[in-house]
Amino acid sequence: MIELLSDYTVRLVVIGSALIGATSGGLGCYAYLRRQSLVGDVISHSSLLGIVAFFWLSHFLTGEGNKSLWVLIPGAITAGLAAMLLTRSVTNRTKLKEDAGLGVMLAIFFGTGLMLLRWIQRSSPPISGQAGLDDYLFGMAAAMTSSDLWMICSLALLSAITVLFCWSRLKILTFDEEYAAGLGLPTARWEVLLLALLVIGIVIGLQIVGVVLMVAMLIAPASAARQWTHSLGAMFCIAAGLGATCAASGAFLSSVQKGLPTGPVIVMFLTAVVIASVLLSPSRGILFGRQRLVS
Amino acid sequence: MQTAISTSQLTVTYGANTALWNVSTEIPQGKISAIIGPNGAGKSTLLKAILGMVPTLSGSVDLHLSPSQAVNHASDIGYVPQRSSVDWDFPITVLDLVLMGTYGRLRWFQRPGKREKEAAMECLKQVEMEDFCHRQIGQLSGGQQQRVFLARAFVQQASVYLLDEPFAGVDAKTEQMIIEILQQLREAGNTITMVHHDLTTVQSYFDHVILLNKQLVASGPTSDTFTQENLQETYGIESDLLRQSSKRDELPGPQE
Amino acid sequence: MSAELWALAIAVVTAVSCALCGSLLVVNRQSMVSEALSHAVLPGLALAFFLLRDYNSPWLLISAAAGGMLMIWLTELFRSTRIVDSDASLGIVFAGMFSLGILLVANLLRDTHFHADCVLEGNLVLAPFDRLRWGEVDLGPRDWWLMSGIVTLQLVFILVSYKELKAMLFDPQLAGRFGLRPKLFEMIWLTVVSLTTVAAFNVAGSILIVGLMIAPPAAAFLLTQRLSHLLIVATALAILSAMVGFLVSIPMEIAPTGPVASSAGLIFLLVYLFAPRSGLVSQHFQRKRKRADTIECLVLQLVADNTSLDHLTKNWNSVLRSLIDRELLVQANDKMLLTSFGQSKLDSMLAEL
Repeated sequence: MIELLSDYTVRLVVIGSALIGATSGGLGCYAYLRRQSLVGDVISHSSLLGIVAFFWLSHFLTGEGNKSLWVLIPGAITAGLAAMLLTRSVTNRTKLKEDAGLGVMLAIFFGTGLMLLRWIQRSSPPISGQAGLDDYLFGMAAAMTSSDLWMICSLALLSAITVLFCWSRLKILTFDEEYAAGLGLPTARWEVLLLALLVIGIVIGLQIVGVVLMVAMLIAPASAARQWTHSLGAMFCIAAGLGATCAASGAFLSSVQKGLPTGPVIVMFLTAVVIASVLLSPSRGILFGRQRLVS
Repeated sequence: MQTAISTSQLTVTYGANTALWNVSTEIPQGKISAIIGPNGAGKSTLLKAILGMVPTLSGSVDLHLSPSQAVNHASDIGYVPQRSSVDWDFPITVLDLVLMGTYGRLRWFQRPGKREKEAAMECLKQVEMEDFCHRQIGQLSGGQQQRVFLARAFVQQASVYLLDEPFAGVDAKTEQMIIEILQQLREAGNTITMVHHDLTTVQSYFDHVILLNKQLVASGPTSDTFTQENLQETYGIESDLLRQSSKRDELPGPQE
Repeated sequence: MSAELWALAIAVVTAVSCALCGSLLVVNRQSMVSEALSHAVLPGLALAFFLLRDYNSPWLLISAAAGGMLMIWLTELFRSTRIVDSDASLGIVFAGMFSLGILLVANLLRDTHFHADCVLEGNLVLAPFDRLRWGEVDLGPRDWWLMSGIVTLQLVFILVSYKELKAMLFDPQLAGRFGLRPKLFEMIWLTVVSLTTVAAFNVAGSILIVGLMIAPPAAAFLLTQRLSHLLIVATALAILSAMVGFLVSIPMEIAPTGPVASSAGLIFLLVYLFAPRSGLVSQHFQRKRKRADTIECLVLQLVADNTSLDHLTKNWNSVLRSLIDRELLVQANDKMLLTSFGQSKLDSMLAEL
C-alpha cells in the first residue's frame, strides 16, 4: 500500500477525497439537523442535468467537451438550486408533500439529464471529452485531476472559513429560527447562506460519489457523529473526520481496483460507521446507551 | 396608564386566510397582560406582528420605549416562542441555549465571551436551573425546558417580554415559579404580555387582558374586561367554564 | 408484431402499473416508499441473479421483494428508536442497500448483460426478445405478461378496498393510515408495491419507476377530486408519458428511460402551472383577487368605524375611487358613508372570518 500511496495520482485522489469527505460531512451536520436529507437528495439527483448541460455547452462554445470541475460544478449548482426552488414552490402551493416533490424532480431533472447524457454519448460525430461523463452517476475518484483538486480545495476552504466566522449565527438559525427573527436578526440572509452551504456540501462530492448516492455522503457522517456527542462543535468535527476517513478509504480502494465505481464503496464504509455508532455509542447507542431521550 | 406597545388597524393575511383583522389595541406599560382567544384566533400572529416577524397587509405597530430603554441594543423585546417550535434533540447544552439570548448584542462574527457566560449563569440562577447548565436540552422535563427558555429571554435585559403559551405542558410547581418571577419583573417596571390558554388563572395572574378572535373583541383591565359576555363573544359558545372563570367578579350580566 | 411495437406495449403496461401503484401512494402520503423500494430491491435481485444465473427464475422476484421488505423493516427500526431522524434513516438505509447491489453487480456480474447502467435505466430495448414459451408456443415477451399480471393484481386490490381508499382521500385526517383495517391492508399493499417495483425493474430501472410512480399521479392529484378520476387521469398521463418518451427516443437512438421520465416530469410541470383552479397561474390570479377584496373590505371597515385611513399601507386613493364608482361607498358632504351594498359586502367578509 505504501508504494501505491507514493503514486502521484493515488495521492491526489486520496487528498481530494479526504477534503471532500470532511467538507460534505461537516456541512451535512446542518442538513441533518434541519431535516433536509430529502432536499439534499433532490439537489443531488437534479445536478445531473446541470452537469451534462454545462458539459454540452462547453462543447458548443469551444468545440471540445470540458469535464473540468470548474465547468461542471457551476452547472450542478444551477440545476440543483433550480430543482430545490421548484420543489419548495410545489410543496408550498399545492397539497403535495416533499416526498412527491422529490419524485417529480427526479423525473424532470434526472430524467432529462439522463436523456441528454445518452444522446451525447451516442452522438456522431462523437463529442470529444464525453467519455467518463457517466461517471457522475456513481462516482469515479480516479478521474480527479489536479485542476479539479484546486476547485475542491477552494470550496473546502471557503466552507471552513464561512463556518468558522459565522458559527454563532449559523447555530442559532439552525436551532431556533423563530427566536432569531424575534431577536431582530436578518434571518432571510442567513437562510440563503445556509442554503449555499448545503449546495456546496453536495456538489463538492459529485465527482467521487456520484449524483445517485451523494445524499448519503452528506447525511451519514452527521448521523453517526450525533451519537457520540452533545456539543454541536464536537459533532461537526467528528462528522468531518468520519467523512474524510470514509471518503479517502473508499476512493483509495476504488482507484486501485479498476472498474469499481467509487460512490458505492464510500457509502458502504459510511453505512458501517453509522450502524456501528447507532449500536455502540456509550450515551445513546442501542447496546450500551445509558441515557435515553426524555419524550 | 402608560402604553408600552400600541397597534392600529393591524391586519395580517396568510395567503387566502385572514389571521388578524383591523386590530387596534394598547398594551399597558409595567403590567402583566394576557392575550386570550380560541384556536386560530391569531394570538401568536399578534405577537409576531409586534416583533415585525410577519408582513402586514395594513396597519402599524408602535413601541413606546423610554429613551433609556430604546438606546441600548437591537433586542428591545424578549421573545419566548412556543416550546414546540424547537428540536429538543439538538446537540446543545442548557448554557448554550441561554447564551443565544446574547447574540442580538454581538456582531455576526463574534462569539459569546466570559461576560456573556456570567450573565447567562445569572439568569439560570434566577430560574433555578444553574445546576443543569451542562445538560443537553433534550434531557430536561417540560417545566425545566420552559424555565431555560425564560432565562434566554431574560439575558437580553429587555424591558418588554412577549411569551407564547409559556404554561403549556408545564407542571404546577414550575408554573408557580414562573409567574412569581414575572411578577418580580413587573415590580421592577418591566412589561409582560403572554398568550395564555387557561381561563381559570386569568384573574389571579393578569392585570390586563386582550380578547382576540381575529378581530379585537375587548381589551382593558382584567376586572372590567374579563366578563362572561365578552368571553362568549370571543369563544362563541356558552360554557360552564366561561361562567366559572368570570363569576368571581359579580358584575351584573345581561338580563336573561 | 415487431420488436419496437412490443417494446412500446411493454412500456405502456409498465407505466399503467406504476401509475396505479403511485396513485395510492400519493393518496396515502407515502410517495417516499417508491423511492426507497426502487433502491432497496437491487441487492436481492443482484444476489439471486448471481447465484442462479437464470434470468427467468421466479426466485429473482422473491429475493428482490425480500430486499424490499427488509428495507421497510430496517427503516421502521431506525425510526422507532428515535435516535436518527426518519428522513435521514431512510436515506442512509437505501443508499447502503443500493450500494451493496451496485457493488455486487459491478463485481460479480461483470460478464453478464446486467450492469450498473441497467440498474438505473432498465432494459426496455432488449425486453421484447425475452419470450414466454408454453411448450412450442411463443406467447410473446415475458415482461408483457408479467406487467399485465401485476396490473391485474393491482386492479383487484383496488376494487376490493375501494371504499377504504375513497375514505382516505376525502378525510385528510385518515391520510397516512388505511382507516378500517390498517395493519393488514398496509402489509398487503406494500407487498403489491414491492412486487410492482421488482417486476418493473428490468424494464424501467430504478429512476423511471420512481418517476412514473410519482409524477403522473401527482399531476392527477392536482387535477381531480375523486379517487376514480385520480386513477383514470394518472393512468392516462402515464400512458401519454410512455408514448411521447418512446417516440422521442427513436430518432435520438437512446434508451427510452430518460425520455419517458422526462416526459412524465414535463407533463407534471404543465399541469402544475396551468391546471384550472389549482395551477400556479390560476392561483396567482385568485390570490390577487382575494387580496384586492380584502383591502376593499378593510377600507369599508375603516370608513364604517369613522377612523382615518392614514394607517393603511396600501394606496387607498384608487381603492376609494373604485368603491365609490361601484356604489359601495358614497360621499355625503364631508364624510364617507357605506351604502347598503357596501355594508353587505363588509358583513359577508366578517362572517367568513
